[in-house]
Amino acid sequence: MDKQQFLASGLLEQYVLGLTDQEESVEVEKWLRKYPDLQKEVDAMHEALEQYSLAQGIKPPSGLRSKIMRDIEANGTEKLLQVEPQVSPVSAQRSWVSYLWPVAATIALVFALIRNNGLGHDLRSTRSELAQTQYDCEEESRRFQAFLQHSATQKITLPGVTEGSTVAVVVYWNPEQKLAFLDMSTLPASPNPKKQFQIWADVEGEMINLGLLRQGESDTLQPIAYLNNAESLNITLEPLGGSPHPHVQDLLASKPI
Amino acid sequence: MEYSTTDIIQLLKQEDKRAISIIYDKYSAALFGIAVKIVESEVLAEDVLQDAFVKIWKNAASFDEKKGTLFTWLLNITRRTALDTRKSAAFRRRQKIQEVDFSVYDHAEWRVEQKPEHIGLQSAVEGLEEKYRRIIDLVYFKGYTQQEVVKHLDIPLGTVKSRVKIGLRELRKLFIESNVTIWIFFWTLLLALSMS
Repeated sequence: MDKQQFLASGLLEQYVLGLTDQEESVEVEKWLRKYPDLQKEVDAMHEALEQYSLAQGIKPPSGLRSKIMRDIEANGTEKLLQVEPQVSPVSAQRSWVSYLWPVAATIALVFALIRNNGLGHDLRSTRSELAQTQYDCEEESRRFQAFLQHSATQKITLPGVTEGSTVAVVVYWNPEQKLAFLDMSTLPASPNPKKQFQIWADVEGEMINLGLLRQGESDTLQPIAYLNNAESLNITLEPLGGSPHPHVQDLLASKPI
Repeated sequence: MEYSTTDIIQLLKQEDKRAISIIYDKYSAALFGIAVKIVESEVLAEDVLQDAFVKIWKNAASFDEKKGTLFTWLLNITRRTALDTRKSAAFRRRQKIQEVDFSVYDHAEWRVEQKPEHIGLQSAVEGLEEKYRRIIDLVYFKGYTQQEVVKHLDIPLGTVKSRVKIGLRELRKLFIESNVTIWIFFWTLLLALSMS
């Protein structure tokens, strides 16, 4: 293919509009490196598209700018808090205060021993508590197993709503036992530490809260409310503590029942 | 003060908040226009723009000018956010929060506040034939693939491809070369005046 043929192919225009696949993009970029005038052409087309967009612009409402700047301000501090390194000079000079630490620790230990003269007793009660917890866990997992194997239990997978999303949240729904659980291992982590996911059922056009989904409990089944007449299940991202009404622009996944 | 794209990119990379206010002043109307085209509601487009700007800020450090222009990057983030909102818009309408007359935004007279320097551009937009304008709107503003355009407009793929090619070339002529012509005219005029 010579340069004229390449130009006639229209690949360059498709490339500018993001319509080429990876292979074609590599091909176009090869031509661009070879012929700087083609690169200039691409720049000019980008510039034209930008002008075209500006020409069709709509001025947003006047309050939006300050709203956005407030959001950025809030996000900025978050960012700073995360990034700020914990500085601890390792070889700093030891002050006299640091020599007091072993002394303080010894005194604390003596006090602790005096207080805990019933140490053996405490240990025994801790052991029995542990056994009880283990029993509870086994009992719970048996109940979950029975629930999952129950003939009326349906597995409902809620696919992510964004294009190319790999999200697939699993809910177990049992109309006979009127029970529902969400498999927390299938729920993605909240993208924002100040937000958490909440699940809703659509009942005759109204969104009914089925529960707030706990963060960071990836290996459990979380019980959620069961609703007889739910038409669909929907998960949204809400501020910590949940919302009375869903923020549908933050819809993560949704599935009709 | 007019900031160049290079200035904005530099500020963005340094995660300097001024980048966001400059981007807002320079591009918010273009991005809002695109969001309105996609979500077909000014109220929803406001949410889109708000979300998009937070994403722009959060991803500031990852912007790579080798992969595309600043405006393309901004447009892609806004478009993706708007498309996500559009998908959940049906969901929102079921809540009966709002009903918007979608046809409103198809009319040019509804576009608010034409800056004087944009009036010339507006006529340039109209200078582009309708069939090319539709293709560029679908592909560039709404993120359609060529296959989706085929389906939507019910025309063969070959026609879509040739309209993409010619449409973009026409657009380039209208927006870039006309500016050059204006400059040449301006300088010639200045020269003529200074000589007289």
